[in-house]
Amino acid sequence: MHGMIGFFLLVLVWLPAAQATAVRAVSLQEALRHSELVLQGWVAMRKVIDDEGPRPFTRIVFAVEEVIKGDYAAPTLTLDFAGAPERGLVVSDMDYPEPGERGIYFVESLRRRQANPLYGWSQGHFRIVVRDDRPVVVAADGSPVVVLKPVAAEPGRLSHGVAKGVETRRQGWDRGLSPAAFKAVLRRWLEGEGR
Amino acid sequence: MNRLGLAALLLGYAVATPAYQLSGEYWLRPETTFRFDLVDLAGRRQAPSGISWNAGFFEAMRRWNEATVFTFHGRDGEPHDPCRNDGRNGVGFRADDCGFAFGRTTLAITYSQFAWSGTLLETDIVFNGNLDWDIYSGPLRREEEFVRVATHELGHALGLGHEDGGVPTIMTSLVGDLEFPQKDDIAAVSAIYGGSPPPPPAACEDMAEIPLNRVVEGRFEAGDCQRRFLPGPTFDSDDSYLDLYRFRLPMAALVVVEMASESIDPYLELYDLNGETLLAWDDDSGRDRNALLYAYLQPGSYRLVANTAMMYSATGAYRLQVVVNLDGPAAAELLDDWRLQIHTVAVNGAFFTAVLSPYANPLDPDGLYWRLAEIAPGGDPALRGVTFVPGSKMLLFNPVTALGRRYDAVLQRYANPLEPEGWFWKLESAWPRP
Repeated sequence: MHGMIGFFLLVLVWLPAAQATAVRAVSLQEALRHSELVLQGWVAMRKVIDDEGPRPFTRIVFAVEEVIKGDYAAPTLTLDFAGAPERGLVVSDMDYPEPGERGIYFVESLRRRQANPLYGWSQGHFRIVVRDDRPVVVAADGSPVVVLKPVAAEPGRLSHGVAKGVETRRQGWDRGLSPAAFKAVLRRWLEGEGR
Repeated sequence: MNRLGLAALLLGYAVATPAYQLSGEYWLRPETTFRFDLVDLAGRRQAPSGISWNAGFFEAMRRWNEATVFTFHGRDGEPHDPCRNDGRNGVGFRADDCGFAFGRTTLAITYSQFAWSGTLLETDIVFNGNLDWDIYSGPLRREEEFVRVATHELGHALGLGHEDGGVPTIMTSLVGDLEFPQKDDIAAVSAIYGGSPPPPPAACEDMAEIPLNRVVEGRFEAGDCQRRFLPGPTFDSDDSYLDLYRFRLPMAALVVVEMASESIDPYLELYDLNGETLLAWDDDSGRDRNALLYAYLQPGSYRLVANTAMMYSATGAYRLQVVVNLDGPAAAELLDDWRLQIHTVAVNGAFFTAVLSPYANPLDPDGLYWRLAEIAPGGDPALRGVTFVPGSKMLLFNPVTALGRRYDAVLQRYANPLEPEGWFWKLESAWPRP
């Protein structure tokens, strides 16, 4: 009986929803190794898709500025993310790229539609913020990235948003890595892996 | 493993302020029901460990039910697709996340449906069935551990958010080591649903009497008291099981307590009867990382905490013994020429007789020293009172007869620079028996 009441409530009111996740902690090197595409770009469009599945989801179109890893020649990239805050379907821990945002994105797969297409969810999502006329790479914890280290994630740990090997400082804007410096480390690691 | 080191590590956490995050959604009443009949993608109802997935999910619910005012009800045998939105809570393994792929890093997702008021109406938990899962306690292995991830997801299901404030909590990335809701999690549930957390398990009040000189067989298992329920500022996140014992000492004496196990890493503490003053502790002084502690005690009653060195809920059997020879024949005697005749001493599980000769140490003329002169297999295992401590190599006498009376004595191993190959001991303490 309670189930039926709940069902009618679901039908009668528009239901916001929350999702929470257990995401494995990864290292940035792992994210780099297993991402099919790593790019720098900006969010050109974000919209809710209501009619392509049982639940609404968010479609984001990125303007591609630079490909750091992977073969991708198109000027834009379209990725779907589970959930749609605008429709009240919220995914906890889902760090949606915002319209107009610039960043560096680790895309796990171009073929599979994933709940979060970025590798390790927030761990594969870096924003580029201009501070004092200087672009700085910022991790999911909102702090500038100051060092990238080649460390391994401890197996079995759950993510707390920032990949292992990514060192951030809450007020480390003067020490924050520029996008060029950030990408240079990634390319050095890629060369070290013979790619 | 040095538990005090861990305690020191956690001390900072212990005094930290609560850091819990609430998701903003909550159940109207502090209870909800999950329907499930868990079968993994290979069609198995049981984890490789032999424990059923249903039992694992019940265990995860139990951890919240026992620690907080919230109650999860379980209806097993009622399979329910977690991807259905129908006002019923479901849980299951799936190859996909309700139409999306999980990707390489997602273990599980909890969906929560709620009204605009914030009232939760339904939660569904989807486990990534493409991963290797198992059910086990202790350090994480290659396989994901089902129960602690389920416990984490149920935390979301009752309204907790992720948090990383440095306080031990099942809702953080530290979940890898933690298996049970922590104080901060419990405080968070109380903040949502009110009330006080349930009292510690009844086992935390049980204190069995342990007779002197008799081996007691014990076992750590579900339902036992856990370390985090003991008062004190440290070990907030310590899930290890413990058993409480008491013993009565009729006269002042040196007491040796041994705790041995083949399946867990024993850890021992000795307190006054009220558990307020720690008198002695040990982790690895015994043979094969067993615990062995000693203390010179006045007549009275004392509390023993039999525990494991690791901070997770390891289960297994152990043997515990409080050794003190009050009125039986002494196992050692000081002869007229100051040789120490040891009639029986256990060394690494075997019994020996030994003779220690007095040694005049030119580097310490005032000290009393002995050196090992003879040792041979033999002795009477029933004869108590000499203990060789494998960890420190010290010798404990409780008692030794000397100069016409009985003494408790502690001999410290002495590394003699003049004879590095020899075995020497120095008298550290001696107490005459009343």
